Amino acid sequence: MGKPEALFFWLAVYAYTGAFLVQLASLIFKKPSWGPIGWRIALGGFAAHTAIIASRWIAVGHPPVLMRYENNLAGTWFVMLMLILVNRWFKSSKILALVVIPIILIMLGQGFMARPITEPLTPNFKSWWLWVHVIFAWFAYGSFAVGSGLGIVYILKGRAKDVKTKVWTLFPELDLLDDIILRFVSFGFIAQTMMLISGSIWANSLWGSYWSWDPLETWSLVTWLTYGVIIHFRLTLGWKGNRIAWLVIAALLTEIITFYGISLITTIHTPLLQ
Amino acid sequence: MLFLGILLPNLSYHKPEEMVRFSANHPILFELGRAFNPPTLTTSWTFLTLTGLLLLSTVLCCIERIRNREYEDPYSSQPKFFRQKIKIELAAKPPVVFKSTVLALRQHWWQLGPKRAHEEFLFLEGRKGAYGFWGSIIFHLGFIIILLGVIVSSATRFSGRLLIAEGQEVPLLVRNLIEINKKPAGTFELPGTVFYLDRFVADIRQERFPVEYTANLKLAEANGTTLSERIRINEAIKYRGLAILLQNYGFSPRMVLKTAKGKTLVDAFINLKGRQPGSRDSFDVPKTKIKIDTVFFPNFNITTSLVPREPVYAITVKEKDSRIFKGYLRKGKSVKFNGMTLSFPELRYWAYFQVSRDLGLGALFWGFVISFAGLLLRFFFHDRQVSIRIKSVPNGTELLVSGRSRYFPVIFKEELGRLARSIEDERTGGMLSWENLKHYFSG
Repeated sequence: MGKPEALFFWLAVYAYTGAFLVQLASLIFKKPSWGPIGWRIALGGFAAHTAIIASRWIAVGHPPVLMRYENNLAGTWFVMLMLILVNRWFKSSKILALVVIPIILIMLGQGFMARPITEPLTPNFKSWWLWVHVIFAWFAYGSFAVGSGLGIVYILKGRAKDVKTKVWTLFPELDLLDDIILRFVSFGFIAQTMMLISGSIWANSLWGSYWSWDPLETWSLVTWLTYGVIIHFRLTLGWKGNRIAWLVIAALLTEIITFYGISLITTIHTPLLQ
Repeated sequence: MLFLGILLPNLSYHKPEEMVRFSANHPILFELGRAFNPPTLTTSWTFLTLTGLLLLSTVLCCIERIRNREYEDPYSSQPKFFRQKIKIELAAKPPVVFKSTVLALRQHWWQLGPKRAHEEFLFLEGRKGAYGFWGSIIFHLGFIIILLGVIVSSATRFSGRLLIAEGQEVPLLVRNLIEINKKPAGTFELPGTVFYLDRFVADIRQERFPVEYTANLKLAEANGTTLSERIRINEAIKYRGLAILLQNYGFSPRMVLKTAKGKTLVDAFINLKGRQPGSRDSFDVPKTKIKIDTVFFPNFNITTSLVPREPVYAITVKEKDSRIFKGYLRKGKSVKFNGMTLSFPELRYWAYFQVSRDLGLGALFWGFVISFAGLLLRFFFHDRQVSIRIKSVPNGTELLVSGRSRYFPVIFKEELGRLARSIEDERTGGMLSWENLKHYFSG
């Protein structure tokens, strides 16, 4: 990790931590006016986060897609991007940073504890499909992670005895949350589809087989099918509310297993993940 | 079962020696892993039957949906739709409001429906996302094509690996392939073209980081034509319906073993496993009981280097399992033991190439494209309809914007609000702000 990258890394970590603390304080001390301040700090964190990716890109000569550190760096960037997009469309959802930022901090920390070494792209990675595959993978991951965060908010707000208290009025209305969850799950599903397609085409040109039933491939398919089933429940059977929120939260487990669990098993993808 | 298979040890991703050790230590787990590993499961009849049933169910479901299409029409009065209404009063006269409404509908990408006039009212209708239904059908059609592609692929696919050392010629025939995953189906035969590995180049930066592998091949056909091909990782070449991919490489030292009387026991390039420093392999000397274990170091001066600048083999020579020599053998040097001389005059690369053929790939690719297009269509278009009633009232015009959508009730409400705000501008004389608009929603 070079000096500029390290500087931006710690700036981002401090900004995200600060944003989280300010948001939390606005809830605890019932000061809604502090919320936007926390949000601006989070945006500053995102700017620093973007700068880490840029400096890393310059240092290693390729987008950060190798090993745990780079994957987590890019992945958390997409999660934050998703949160910013939600806020662009639904102004009342800034408070969701309170749920999403801790996930980002944990992932950044976990990546940092791995090996942030710099190395050039190996011949296996020299394919245009890599970029399509990785970008859509992170879009899917970001969408499902934010969707689950929204699911948690939906459950908590739905269970609160008095949703008209100041704390809960800071979060979007239940019906709106339900709509946004469906949007994120649908978008994540599309991204996951593209990730599987591009991965399959890349695998065919790299290994001569578009599908090897490798554990990572199998779990990606399981994840895709799980979210496909949730979308069918929502759109075809009309399920909504708590049932869908619980399903979306539970479904994130499949994504976590795909990204983190499978790296504990030896697969043809192992050198790509560790 | 797939879940179980993923968690169990998989033969495909472990080294043979690891699997032998594992089978000895955990025989039950080993057998379970062999029976339930995903490649075995997915080629079983149970799995293929399930895939067939999924295919049938998807086809039937699509047919049923198309047949019942009329009931999904947003103009019908089916209860699945969410309904929203906004009622506002504007200072302008109905013709001005009508004009502004048409403009607003067009600005917001609403497809204008029939305009109707009543004694007291003017009606305008708009629709969006009618193609969304077809997006779902197209996605499932793509999915059906993918499943058909999988069936064709599993019936016609074959692949194997061809290992060639630099300077070596190997005819492309089934008997010359190592690790055949599946033999060619039906009457298809490999062309028998002679493959010659002219040169292999490994571009390694800072002694440790490989950035490019290139193999220069010459393909000599039966009719005397010779083709030159350059293959890189990720860049397969197509040859007579076959895909040829560069997959792996290693080192092939020339080992010469002579007796004290000068009789040559072995003089050959031996394709040894591994290219990393410390890679182990062994070979037997033919017609003797001598076995030579090797540990490879590409550059003895830099132990982590992958570049073969100063290649050295740490060798252990055994005869009938008893060690007769242990030491280092540098390129261009020789060692002596028991009156014999082992020399290592040259080092070349070997590379192996995956040769495969799959007639289902086209269907799979187009199935992917169609599925993705269908998903995009489904995501960006979903059926919703707006109906606008314009009525003359003493102070101007009463505007009733009502709409129905199959999905996203709250987002649709905001969309209707944006439409109402567009209609309500200085020409229609309204002063509606977004905050005030909330109070106008009803129904």
